[in-house]
Amino acid sequence: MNADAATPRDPVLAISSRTVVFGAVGAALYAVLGLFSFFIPGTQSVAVRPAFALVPFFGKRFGVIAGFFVGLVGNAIIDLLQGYGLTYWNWSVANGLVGAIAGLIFAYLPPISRESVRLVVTALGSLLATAIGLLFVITDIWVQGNGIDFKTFLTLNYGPALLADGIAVVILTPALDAIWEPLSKRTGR
Amino acid sequence: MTALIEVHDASVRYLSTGQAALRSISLTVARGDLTLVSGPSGCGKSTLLRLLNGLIPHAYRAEVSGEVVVGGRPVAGRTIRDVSTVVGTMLQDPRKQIVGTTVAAEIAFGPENLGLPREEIRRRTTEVAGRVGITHLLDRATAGLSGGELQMVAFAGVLVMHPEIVVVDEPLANLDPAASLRLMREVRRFVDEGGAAVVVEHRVEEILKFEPAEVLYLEDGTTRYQGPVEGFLRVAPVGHVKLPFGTLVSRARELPAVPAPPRREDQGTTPRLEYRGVALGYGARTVLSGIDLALGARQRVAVLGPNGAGKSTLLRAAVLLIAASRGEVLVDGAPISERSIPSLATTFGYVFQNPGQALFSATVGQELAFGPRNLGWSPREIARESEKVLRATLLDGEKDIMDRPPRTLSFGQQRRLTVALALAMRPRTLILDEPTAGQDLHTTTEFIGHALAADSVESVYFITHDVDLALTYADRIIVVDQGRVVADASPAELARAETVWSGAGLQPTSLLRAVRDHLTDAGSIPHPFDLARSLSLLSPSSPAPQEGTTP
Amino acid sequence: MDVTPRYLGAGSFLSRRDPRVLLLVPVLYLVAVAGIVDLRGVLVCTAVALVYYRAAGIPWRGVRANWAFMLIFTTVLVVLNSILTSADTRSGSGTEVLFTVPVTQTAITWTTLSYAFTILVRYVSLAMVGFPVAFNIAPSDLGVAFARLGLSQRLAYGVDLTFRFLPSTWASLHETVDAQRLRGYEHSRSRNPVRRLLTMRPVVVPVTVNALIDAEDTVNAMDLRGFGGRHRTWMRELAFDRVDYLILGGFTLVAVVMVTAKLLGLTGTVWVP
Ligand SMILES: Nc1ncnc2c1ncn2[C@@H]1O[C@H](COP(=O)(O)OP(=O)(O)OP(=O)(O)O)[C@@H](O)[C@H]1O
Ligand SMILES: Nc1ncnc2c1ncn2[C@@H]1O[C@H](COP(=O)(O)OP(=O)(O)OP(=O)(O)O)[C@@H](O)[C@H]1O
Ligand SMILES: [Mg+2]
Ligand SMILES: [Mg+2]
Repeated sequence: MNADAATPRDPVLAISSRTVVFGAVGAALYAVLGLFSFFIPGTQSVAVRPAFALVPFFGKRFGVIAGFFVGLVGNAIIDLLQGYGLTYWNWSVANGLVGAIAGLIFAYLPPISRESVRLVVTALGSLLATAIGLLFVITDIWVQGNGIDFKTFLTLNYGPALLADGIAVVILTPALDAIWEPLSKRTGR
Repeated sequence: MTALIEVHDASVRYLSTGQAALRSISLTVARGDLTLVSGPSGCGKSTLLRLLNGLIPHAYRAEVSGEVVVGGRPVAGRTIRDVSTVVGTMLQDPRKQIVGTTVAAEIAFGPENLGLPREEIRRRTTEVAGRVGITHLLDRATAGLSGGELQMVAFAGVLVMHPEIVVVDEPLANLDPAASLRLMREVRRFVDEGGAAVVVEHRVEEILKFEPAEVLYLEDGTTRYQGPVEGFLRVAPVGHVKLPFGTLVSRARELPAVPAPPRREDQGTTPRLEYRGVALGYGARTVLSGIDLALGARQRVAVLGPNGAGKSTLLRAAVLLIAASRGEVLVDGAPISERSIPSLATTFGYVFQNPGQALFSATVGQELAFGPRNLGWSPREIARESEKVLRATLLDGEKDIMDRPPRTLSFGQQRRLTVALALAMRPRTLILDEPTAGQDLHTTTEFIGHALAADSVESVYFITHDVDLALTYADRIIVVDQGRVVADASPAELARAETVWSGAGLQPTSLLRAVRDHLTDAGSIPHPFDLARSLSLLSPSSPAPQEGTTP
Repeated sequence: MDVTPRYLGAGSFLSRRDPRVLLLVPVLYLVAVAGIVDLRGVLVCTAVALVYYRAAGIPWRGVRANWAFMLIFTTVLVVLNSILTSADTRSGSGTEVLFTVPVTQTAITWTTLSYAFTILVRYVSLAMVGFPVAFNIAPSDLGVAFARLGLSQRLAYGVDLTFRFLPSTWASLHETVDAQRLRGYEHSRSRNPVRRLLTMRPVVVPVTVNALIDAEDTVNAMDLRGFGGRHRTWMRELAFDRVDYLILGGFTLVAVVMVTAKLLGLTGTVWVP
């Protein structure tokens, strides 16, 4: 089961009050839980933000728009609360894209009934969405005017981010999804 | 004159589960009518409201037969927005339906959506705020309001849309008695000024004061009783609906026998929990001060008081969730600061108000094992204990309970599960924060009965807004108000302390008046059923009960 | 810890502006400084950003920690970048090697240094125009600002709603942590990131699931109060005044000038004194 359990009649890009509320709830959750992060030992730049797992989860369960909203607004609010303003705006957009892409991927996957398979697919799909979405941070190269070349981008920005967010996504997204699965059927909308 | 709402022979089946939730219900509500809908948990009350405001069939996937006519036109062909101009709805928990960050924004939300001009919205906001008495709150943030204030704000948000009828789902569940009274007074006034209302509520006695024109009692999706209040009081199932005490007396013969809860005598041992000159607060704000209390190791203590008085704060200090800013808290005679939270967790089993707060595992079995595993128990011990607590909370009858995802249990079952979780750590004292809010009488009785009877538990301290529950099950009642403990006595003594009941957010109930009038000694109070039985023997020719009157 | 955004610049010149100005300026500024490699160009823009930042009236004490964090973070980024990147291809002069970095063998020249400094200054100036978004817009103005910038009415309301959910989510997180602590839950100090993530489950899962279950009621409540119509009144009235237009015009001018300069190739080389 996937997005069609939550948004049975809506086209992929529709904005209903469900989209708005779940987007807002997700963004608030991401913002609050996202204030907690820890460094992977041995590195001083790879900060794992466990709450990142929420972004593909919301994309998967509540659709493309909600996923995008959660990533974009959630990350922007974390930056806001920590006081960066909009300096790292492209990271917020990248977060949003992860949610949106997760929404797209799972919208077109057929429902899977075997639980173990579903968990693995959820993890892989979310990881894929993360890998693609974070590529947007390549816009740093534009901002920096070729100053940061592609190699630097991979080793300094993209690589660590993918590693850190990837771990969170692979471990926590399927866990959240598995808990939500039986409940989504009961909400009965 | 045409009725505002007409339901003819309506049935509802949710497509997600395929189960019928309502079967051939008919209901007519005209201007000036206040209709009370009651019934046990899961009987379809909320489903009925969803039918009236158009959420069914427009938002929920459900199959509806029969006819629902609102304001003269069938709901089927209209949008929720359209129906909402006639039917204003207040859902159960105000916390979930408030969308504005400030009170003014919250009240303006509906009119904003209708696209009304700003001037008109401002005018309506001022008028409605004045009417329900929340003008002083308009600039406050909704996040900082008390439960009672929130409920009034939510109601104002509905009234501001100028509906012709309001439907209200369990408005009193989290309110103290005084706040309930204020809210219901506003509902009544709305009806008297040409509106109409449908109120779903378990706390029947408190609604009866407001003279509903009709009572609809549902059971299992079907109408069990529909008609005037007097008839309802004659046929309502005792033990499932909380009826006025006078009704209990006149129907004494039908009352079931109640097993007396085990009484445990306090033999002057060290108190389990002692406060010495304690002040508690959050940040710079002091909520409670000068608290001197000693709660016995074998006592049943009820804590009463208005919304936001600090009842939860008081008991949170027992498990170090909040530290005393002044004074000292002692547990079993030793300062609490020397204890760790895990060691306190085996002394006090703490059950929070919201059952979902702690449920995270994939199965009930794993959920039960989490606490004990953190304490380092062996798997065999955990398995044995889990089985025992499930039995103690009557959850063992549920099929495959150990493998069920906890959150798929019914609300009442989840509540009992949280008690099981606390019991699984073998506490000696159980602390329950508003264990029965929003539950029907039958569930309440079962729930409290089991909590009190669990064999490892020596004492129970519980917070409640239900005065009768406190009178019935506690052997000591503490009233908290305005930052202090304002009363501390046995139920029978407290019943006679007139001043307590006029303040502290409390309201005398019919049971309380009966206790005051008929019990002369200051000892313990018998169960209301037993009391009613003995009173009916005294005056066998008591007149037919009127609503709310005491014999 | 507080989860409500801090409105620090109350009463200042920028706080009196239409919030849309504060949202648009960083965008224009970004267009202006993006890709400029010449330190002098960036410095000119930074001067404009500094004036703008001063007008925000954000008390230094309130944002000291933010600036410190931001400076450290950016410096680390820039230093690492300089070590990994060889900047010598971009400039004819200034290729004299000052020293070589031990491990990576990167040659550090005046070009490298000038370039690194340019990046640093650019980030700092971006922060200057970005901070007012965080500290000078009342959260309740954000939704309407986005709506009037052309975002879908419903999504714009979603922004407002997010701020409504922030404090309650924070409270619910607290209650859940409390509840789990009473069951012996302790925050893991393990060094293994996988284990640490797994021990987050007892907190993350119930907070999320509760929020979702509650949200279902919020959806109903909003539907029942007519949410989602085509036209929606916003109680907060927004209107650009002359000063707003001047500010926007000024930043547009800066953006146009800098882009033109870039297209003419004037700012594409690293400046070496
Ligand atoms: N969205 C839904 N999808 C499927 N079944 C539902 C849904 N909502 C309620 N039900 C079922 O319909 C029945 C009636 O539920 P309803 O919520 O109307 O009861 P209620 O009388 O309001 O109970 P309570 O006092 O606990 O609020 C129950 O068996 C419930 O499980
Ligand atoms: N974590 C907190 N931070 C700040 N203030 C708080 C916190 N928890 C409670 N308060 C405030 O302390 C006061 C007492 O709260 P408490 O929850 O103890 O009241 P209560 O008597 O249990 O009320 P209710 O009947 O509504 O549950 C309230 O005014 C509340 O707003
Ligand atoms: Mg209900
Ligand atoms: Mg409380």
